Amino acid sequence: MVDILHTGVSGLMAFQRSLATTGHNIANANTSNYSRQRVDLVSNSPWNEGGNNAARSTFIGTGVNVAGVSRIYDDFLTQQVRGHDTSVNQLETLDELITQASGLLGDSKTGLAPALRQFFAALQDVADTPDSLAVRQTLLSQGESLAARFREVDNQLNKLRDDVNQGLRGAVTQINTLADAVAAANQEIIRVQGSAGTAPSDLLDHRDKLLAELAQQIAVQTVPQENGAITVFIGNGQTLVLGNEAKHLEVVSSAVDPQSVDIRYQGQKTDLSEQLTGGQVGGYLSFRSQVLDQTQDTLGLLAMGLAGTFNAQHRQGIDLNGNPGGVFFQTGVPQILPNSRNTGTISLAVTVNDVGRLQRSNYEMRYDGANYSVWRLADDTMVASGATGPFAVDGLSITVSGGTLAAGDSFLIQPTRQGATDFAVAIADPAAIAAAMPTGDVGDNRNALALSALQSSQTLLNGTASYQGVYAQLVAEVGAQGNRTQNTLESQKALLEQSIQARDAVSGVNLDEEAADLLRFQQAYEAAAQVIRVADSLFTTLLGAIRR
Amino acid sequence: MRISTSQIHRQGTQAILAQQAEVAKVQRQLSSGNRILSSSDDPVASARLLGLHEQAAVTEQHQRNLDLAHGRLSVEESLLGEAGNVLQRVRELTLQAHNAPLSDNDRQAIVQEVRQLHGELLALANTRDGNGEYLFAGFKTHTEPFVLDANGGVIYQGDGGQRLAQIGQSLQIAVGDSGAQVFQQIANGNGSFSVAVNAANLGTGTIAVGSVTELTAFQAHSYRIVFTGATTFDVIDDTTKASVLSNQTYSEGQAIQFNGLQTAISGAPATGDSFTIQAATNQDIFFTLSRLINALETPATTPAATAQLNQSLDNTLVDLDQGLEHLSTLRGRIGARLNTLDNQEQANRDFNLHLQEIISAVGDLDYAEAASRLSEKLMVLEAAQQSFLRVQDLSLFKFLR
Repeated sequence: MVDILHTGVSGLMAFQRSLATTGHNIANANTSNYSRQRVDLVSNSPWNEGGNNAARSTFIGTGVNVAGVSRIYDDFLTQQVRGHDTSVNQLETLDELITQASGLLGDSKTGLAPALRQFFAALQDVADTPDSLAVRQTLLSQGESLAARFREVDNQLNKLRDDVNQGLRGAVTQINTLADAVAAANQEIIRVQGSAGTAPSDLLDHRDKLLAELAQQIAVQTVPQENGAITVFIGNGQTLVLGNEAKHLEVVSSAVDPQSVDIRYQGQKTDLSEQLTGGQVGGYLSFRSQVLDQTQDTLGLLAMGLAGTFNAQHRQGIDLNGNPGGVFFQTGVPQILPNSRNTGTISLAVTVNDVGRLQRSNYEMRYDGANYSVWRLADDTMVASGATGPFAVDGLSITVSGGTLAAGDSFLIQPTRQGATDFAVAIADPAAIAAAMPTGDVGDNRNALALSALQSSQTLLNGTASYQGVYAQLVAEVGAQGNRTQNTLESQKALLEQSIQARDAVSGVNLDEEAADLLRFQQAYEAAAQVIRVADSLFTTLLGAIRR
Repeated sequence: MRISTSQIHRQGTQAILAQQAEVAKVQRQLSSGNRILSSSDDPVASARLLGLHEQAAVTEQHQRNLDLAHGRLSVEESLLGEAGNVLQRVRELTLQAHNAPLSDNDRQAIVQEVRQLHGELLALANTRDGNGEYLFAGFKTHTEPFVLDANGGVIYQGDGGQRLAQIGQSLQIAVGDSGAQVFQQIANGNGSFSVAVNAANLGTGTIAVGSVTELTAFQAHSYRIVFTGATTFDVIDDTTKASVLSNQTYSEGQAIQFNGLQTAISGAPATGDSFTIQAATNQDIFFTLSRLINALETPATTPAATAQLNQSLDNTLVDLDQGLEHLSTLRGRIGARLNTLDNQEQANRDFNLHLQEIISAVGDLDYAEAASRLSEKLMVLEAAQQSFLRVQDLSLFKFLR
């Protein structure tokens, strides 16, 4: 009879815990990364009434026992959610940036294209009345607004580059904070698991939440350890968190290109940004390498191409005062960026020989101790090499003079990056427009006609594209990249949704289910209480019998 | 499959958000009329639109150039017409001077009018357009093309430049002619050769302007017809110093033929008189007029002087005819250019229309399609909202009271 009471009490205790856990589940129905919990009940070891006499063995149950609270969780599904979330975050960042870039480039009604059209229309007006100063002034004004559009787009692209650098700094700060938090969670889990043998579900959920947040910043791989800790890797297996220790990253000005930033371990030299993918960091990095650099280089190429070909024709003519035509547009020059880790110095000069042959690429010049080699980075091809130079590459002439280099020294050459930055109309006097040919006079429009003809001539990219063609190609490329990104983003979002569903199907809280459990455990609790009342009544009956 | 409560909520709200985004996009398309809102919507069409808009802008510009060219050529055509009228009047006066027996005073009246016409022609040649550009100065549009020199002649200060206008993708047209070409490059005489009487002649002989009878035999040489007696003459080729005909018998008005040309001499030449035949050269029209003035002003008191005057008037008449023909050829050429402009204008207009159609097809919104898409999206959105409410409303807790 004491046993019945004991059995009843064990039931009361078990259902009380079950109700508490159900309450906990209900309370956390909207907690992200919460894994629902379940009280594992096991029946107690039975009592053998027959004692040691095997023939008379009768096992009587002794109630229920709480074996533990288990976490309904699937590591594979959680990793899948993390993986898709990292892609979605990367693509969302990329999409947002590409949208900004394509907005800048505009379409047929905004951006650079209308300014280019208006400039050439004004040029034809000069061809119609070459000696009118008013018409010439309009051409100069249109030239200036074209130049202003070039500089404006370029300036906005630089702002986007700043945004990318800023974004990377922010993301890396976030990554460092989260890495610290994961390391701290690891430490706590190691400690609790060491003393209690198992780690509390909520602590594991907390660490999962941290990892999910980390994955939104950068792609991570996780490896669980025996002691309950999780080792976190980024990139191609670079350790971020090992046990209770976190490694910190930092963002520094790039050794190769001071306008860009590198990401590296704090205090170390190797740039990791080539290896890092996923999350916002991946989005920023892929925008920089796949869209931003190309866009700015192409814009610069157009500016330098327009200036080069236009100036060449302009010089063929004479102006209203009979003087030979001068420089009409001024533009940027190739940038030479010595690697900041170079130990030797030389003076390197890069000049543009033929704007028509310029390519949309940057170049790297390397020195191996005896020879120079020039690599075109767009297709990673060696395009020139030798011990002395000069090197003629894609319309560029690279000359080396003076000083000595050490093996391994390198230079980055950006032929067109600054092309649009310094783009401007070089003449201020409308009379200085060379509309005439040298044999002509003020009414001669032959050079103006020749200049107009440049609008539709395929003078750039090895004679394959007109000015407008180069720009249209750029708009189409950025648009296609945006299109591809959006499509991939859509499918990744769908995959993320599916993986969340799969995870939540296992771990998520369903309130109806919990309501049913609430009823179930409440009824069981009442039943267990009834058992105690019966035990009490049995006991009273027995006492009454004895009292007599 | 087990569904978590937050999943139900999430699915419901995400469906609503996604539909709202779709509705917003259609709305933006409808309000802008553009099918493509961002180049990522249709990268290929965006690039194509850039090219099409450039082509349209270029075509419009060609049309503007064409309108300007049309204006200039019409002005030139009417100026040349006026110049023709001036020459026609001079011709009438010349005939008047030639036919009637006139006194020196009568001739003086004619001279007055010719002088005035000379000035009129000079003013026409120095016409400026609305921008202050001289029309007949070639490329030197700021320089007065024709000025009088100290001897009463005219000097051309322009050049031979001819301005072209771009009126089609690969079509340029001349929008004017230089003053030299219009007023100076006119062949004199009958177009092949000109004739003259020697100023020192004593007789009354005059020489007919003549013509080329046999083109293959004609040589652009200078010839001299010299009267060796009152009835005999020789013909000498002054270019080769060779004798062409010798000891010919002169009879008045009878054709003299040699080396593919034919002329005739009238009147009574004196022994030693000579007549010259020279290959035609370009003679400016102002010279023709000033020579006429000179001739009319020279008193014709002797028979020889009268013969000289008549010869001058004869020569002037053919020179004027040459000038009139030259002007009408030029006007014909301008007419042909204006014709080209008209054709090109039609071509530009058609091309532009064609471009606008393509631009519209590539970039414009199909309103009917978009409107039906909008109502479809709105319906889906409403369904998402309604179903969310219904599903959210279902909770076991509602019944646990």
